[in-house]
Amino acid sequence: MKIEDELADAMAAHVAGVEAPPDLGRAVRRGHRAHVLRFRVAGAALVTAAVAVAVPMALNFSQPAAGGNAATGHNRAVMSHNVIVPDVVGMSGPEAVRILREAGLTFYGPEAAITDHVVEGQNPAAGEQVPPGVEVRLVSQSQALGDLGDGREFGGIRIGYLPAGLEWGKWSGDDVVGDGESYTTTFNKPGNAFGVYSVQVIVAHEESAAKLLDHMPEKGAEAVDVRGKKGRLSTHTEGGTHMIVWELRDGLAVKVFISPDYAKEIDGVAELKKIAEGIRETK
Amino acid sequence: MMLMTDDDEAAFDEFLAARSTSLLRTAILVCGATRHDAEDLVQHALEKVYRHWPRIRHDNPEAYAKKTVVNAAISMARRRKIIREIAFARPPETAADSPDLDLRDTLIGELRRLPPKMRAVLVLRYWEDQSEESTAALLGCSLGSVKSQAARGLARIRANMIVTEELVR
Repeated sequence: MKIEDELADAMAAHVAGVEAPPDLGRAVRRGHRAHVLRFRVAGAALVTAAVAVAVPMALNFSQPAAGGNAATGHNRAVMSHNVIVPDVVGMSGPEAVRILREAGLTFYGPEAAITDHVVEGQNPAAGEQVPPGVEVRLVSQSQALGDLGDGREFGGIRIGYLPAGLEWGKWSGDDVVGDGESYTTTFNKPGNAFGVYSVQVIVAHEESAAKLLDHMPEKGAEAVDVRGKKGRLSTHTEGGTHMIVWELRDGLAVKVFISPDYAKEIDGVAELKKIAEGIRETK
Repeated sequence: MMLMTDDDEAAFDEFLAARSTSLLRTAILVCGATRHDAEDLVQHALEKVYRHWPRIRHDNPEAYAKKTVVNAAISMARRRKIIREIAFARPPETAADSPDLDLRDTLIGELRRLPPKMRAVLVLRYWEDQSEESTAALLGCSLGSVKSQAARGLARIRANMIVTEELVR
């Protein structure tokens, strides 16, 4: 037997018992930051539609039957079952689902996936009339930590410094790294396209802290000092993301990223260091 | 953010059902990490696939997913290299310290000792039975590099196996 055949056998035997976990699809979708929800107009019993068609019907019936027997057919044509799309941008996922249901729209998808989400966009827009069967799509993003206000305090830390002009990205996640507690959020420039961040911060405790430190960038990382603690800084990660990671204390690690695009607009390395220097533990 | 249709979602589920086990197995072999870490890695790679799904689903999504998984596995293996080298540092002639060590375990042990990219070449070529051309495409390297890495990888394993056998005798 040739060595490559023996090796192939050994590899096959090594992974023979391995199967992908059954909930992988759910995990992938959950891990994906943004979710798109879809609603479809329900076939019947549209409250909004009933109100909308009531007026033309009344008008037609109040007129003398001068037009002859075409009136009934005409009435049917006027009786469009259109639904006026409600405005749900900014609402929590469950609230948006409730409002859209009340408007006669049907939700497709796992509702549990959006319980901690906030709706960021919708298509068609609020106020538009849609015929039956048209899908209304919502784009939502996770806000696992709720409304963080200016976003600077979360997961046991406070961010004292951020580059001017950034605002909280209204997005947050938890359980992002390892088995311990970990949290993350982003800060964006106003007007950034959906899902585009400028600065992201991850906080990790205990086992997760070890994991966060373990995932240090490999290439071009330089040792840096963050208020007396050893950290590592890299500008050579995938796509040019700038990142710094360090331990605030044993069992509490923080990683800050600056997106490649934003790093080009500012002095990425200097700003990264300033953000890191300004982070304190709150507990 | 691309919008996913119901059809896209269903196709993604089908893709996962058909391919995720094979991707996970490849990840385990290439990164040499624990199954838990390999699952994390595959999940992250699949999130990337999911993000671009409407665009790539009609254009060989398996190759895209495999490329993402293999390259992430190589990166992970490189990050872990230092830790592993400390943990397993020993001269090659003591590779098999127990005569009872199963041949397959020894081979896997030798495979793990190879540099990550070399290991990836062997996994893709001999376990997945990929051609030299597609291995090169998946790893983003030249055909020549695949040929030489495969030959050197096998030669190293063979050399260590001979040493092992001599010790066992």
